[in-house]
Amino acid sequence: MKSFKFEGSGGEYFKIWIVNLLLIIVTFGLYYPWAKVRNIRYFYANTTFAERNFEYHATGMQLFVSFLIAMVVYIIYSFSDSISPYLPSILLIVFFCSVPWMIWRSLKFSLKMTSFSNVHFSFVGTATKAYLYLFVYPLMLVVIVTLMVFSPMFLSGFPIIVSIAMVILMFALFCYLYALVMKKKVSYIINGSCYGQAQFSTVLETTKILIILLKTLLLAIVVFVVGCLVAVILGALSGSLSSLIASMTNVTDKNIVASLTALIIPITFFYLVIILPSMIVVTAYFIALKRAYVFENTVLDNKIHFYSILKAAPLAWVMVTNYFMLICTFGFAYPWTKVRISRLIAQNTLIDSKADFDEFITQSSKKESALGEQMGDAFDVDSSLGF
Amino acid sequence: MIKGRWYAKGVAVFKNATLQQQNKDSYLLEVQDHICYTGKLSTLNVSDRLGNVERKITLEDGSVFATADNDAVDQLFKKSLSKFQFIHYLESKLQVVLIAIIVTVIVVFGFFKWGIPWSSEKIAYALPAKTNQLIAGNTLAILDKWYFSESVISDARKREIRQHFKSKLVPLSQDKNITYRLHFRAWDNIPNALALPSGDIILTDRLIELCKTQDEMDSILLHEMGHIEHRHSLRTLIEGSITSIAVMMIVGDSNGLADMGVGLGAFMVSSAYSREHELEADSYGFKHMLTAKIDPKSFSDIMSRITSNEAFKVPVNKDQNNSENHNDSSVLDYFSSHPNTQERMKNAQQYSDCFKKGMSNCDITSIPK
Repeated sequence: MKSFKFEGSGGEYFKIWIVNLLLIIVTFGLYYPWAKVRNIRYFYANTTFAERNFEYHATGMQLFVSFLIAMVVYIIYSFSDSISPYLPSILLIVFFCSVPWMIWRSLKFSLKMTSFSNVHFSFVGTATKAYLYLFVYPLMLVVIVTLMVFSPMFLSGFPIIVSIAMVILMFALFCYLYALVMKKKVSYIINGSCYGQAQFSTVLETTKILIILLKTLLLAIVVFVVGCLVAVILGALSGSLSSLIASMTNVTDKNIVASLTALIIPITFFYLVIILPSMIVVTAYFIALKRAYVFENTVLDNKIHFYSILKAAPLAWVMVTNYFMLICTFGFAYPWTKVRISRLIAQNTLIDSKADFDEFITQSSKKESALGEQMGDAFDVDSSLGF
Repeated sequence: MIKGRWYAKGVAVFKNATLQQQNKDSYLLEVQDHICYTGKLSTLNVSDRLGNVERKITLEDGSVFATADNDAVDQLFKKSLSKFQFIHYLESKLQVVLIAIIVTVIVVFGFFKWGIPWSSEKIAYALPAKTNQLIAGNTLAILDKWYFSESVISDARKREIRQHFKSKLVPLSQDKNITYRLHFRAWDNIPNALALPSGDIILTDRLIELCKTQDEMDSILLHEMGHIEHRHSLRTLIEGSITSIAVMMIVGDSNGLADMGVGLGAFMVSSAYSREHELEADSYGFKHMLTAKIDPKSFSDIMSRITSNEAFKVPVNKDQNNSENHNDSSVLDYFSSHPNTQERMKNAQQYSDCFKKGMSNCDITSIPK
């Protein structure tokens, strides 16, 4: 087993990042697609395995046209609710229906534009399957959850023990279905990905994913309880707790407004220093567990195996410290945070060391436009699996 | 002589190779245990320099020569490097980096503080007047559904107020495209006035109750007219859109969690714009009050009455401290959509001094426009 390496450095990337930011400013945003390509290239090209590196081949020009279209769509949407109350809802429905298409296009484009050791990746998953796993399945999940939420109406006649049992059963069913949807999505993306002439394949079990989800949920509950205790202790110490209680017992229009505004500072503090970091910790835990499981069960060309030895604790540490670094520097530490996480992930991703990459050849396919990719990017919809 | 690796087109396998210049404008590429390439340097496609990442030179047949020796490549191709080479140059010069940091901070700050409000204003006035009608949309209907109840003011009083508004205040308006309409509503015990971009102004019963003189009501109505004439609703929409796009481009593809922290900043920015709009509406009100021979002190009087406990019919409790009068300036001001009341009252006072001197306009530099 050998790991990837990340050869870039925070200092070097900072210079690239800040100068490109300056160019975006100076060109009133027009330079953005070229800056984006340059930023992505830096991370791809500095990620190496056995002295071979990744490359990103998209050009600024390709992204630029799609970038313009995405901007226009966004502006129309921002103004739509002032024109008619129905318009934003219609646009939103259209948007949601096109999300799987955007993800599919985005996958095809970004994989095609990525190469490792001079051989390109590709995505051969179909658009139909994209709709099935990224739209229909999640939609069914939403429908079932809605049914569950309204089920108390049917339960009111039953004794309390039965009601509680039903609720627990429904919750378990929800978790299982959520794990199933996640499994389908990840499998679709990995099984549709190719490197050269070879295909990736993964075999995942819903129950294993369910266990990961439940473990994460347990951690989230523990973290929530601890967070509340910390908040109560800090609140009591600073006196804001007593004013909150005082205001709640003296309810009038004016009083609520006044006491809430006085509490904005402690609430903001609590949100930024306790809630967000806690969410980061839980997220890190989930990413580490999921990644380890998925990588362990993924094979390329039925021969090359992958492993993730990324542990939750170091990941959580890097993510939380990154977060505080960003806040304290008003975002200027961003390049270092990105490099830190890239280095951590690379070091903890392993490939079968007997893997021989010499035999791979790029497959030819028609040119892909960047439209779906930029639409997805503009609306923050992407296929990232948290890898 | 540049050492590197050579890949045939589209394959992962590589061989060691060396590249060197031959004659003035030709190259020689020797691939170990394989062929030699030669040709004009201009037929080679060199990838853009980016820090120190491996440089890739693509030959005419699609095969690729990759090398880590960026400096040597720059040297060899110095005549034909792409414009991105200039960008790399900028990225590697420390002075440029420092300038970039300073300029970025200044521009980003300036853009949010002045750039966005200025361009929103220009765009708002450039758009046809109809746009303002359009965006008012269903607002009044929605407010009526969720917040307002029917006014209990007598029809005679309503007629009186409308008549006075039409004869004294509407003629002061400079934009003849606007059709002003007064609406009366009850909103629990809240004294308030709202202006919709369509020209509709809504007064709540409690506000009318609190006005002791006609001048006080006029000062509020003029403030609301100011919002409409200055197209604040449209400008708020435009400002919001530009702010979102700008933030999206700066933050880029963050890891999602940063977005949550950004929301707080965006809220503070939009609150700041809102405060600027309020001050501008105040200014409009004061100027027109001077023209109409109304003492701007009336605005100050009604404002202080609205923000006092009396306004909400809250019994005065000796335990309550006075900070609820919003008199003290504090960090909370940065989250507020309206400027500090003391500040507004101070502006009113300055205009009032001008009024007492019989001036029909006032040269106050502390107030916008």
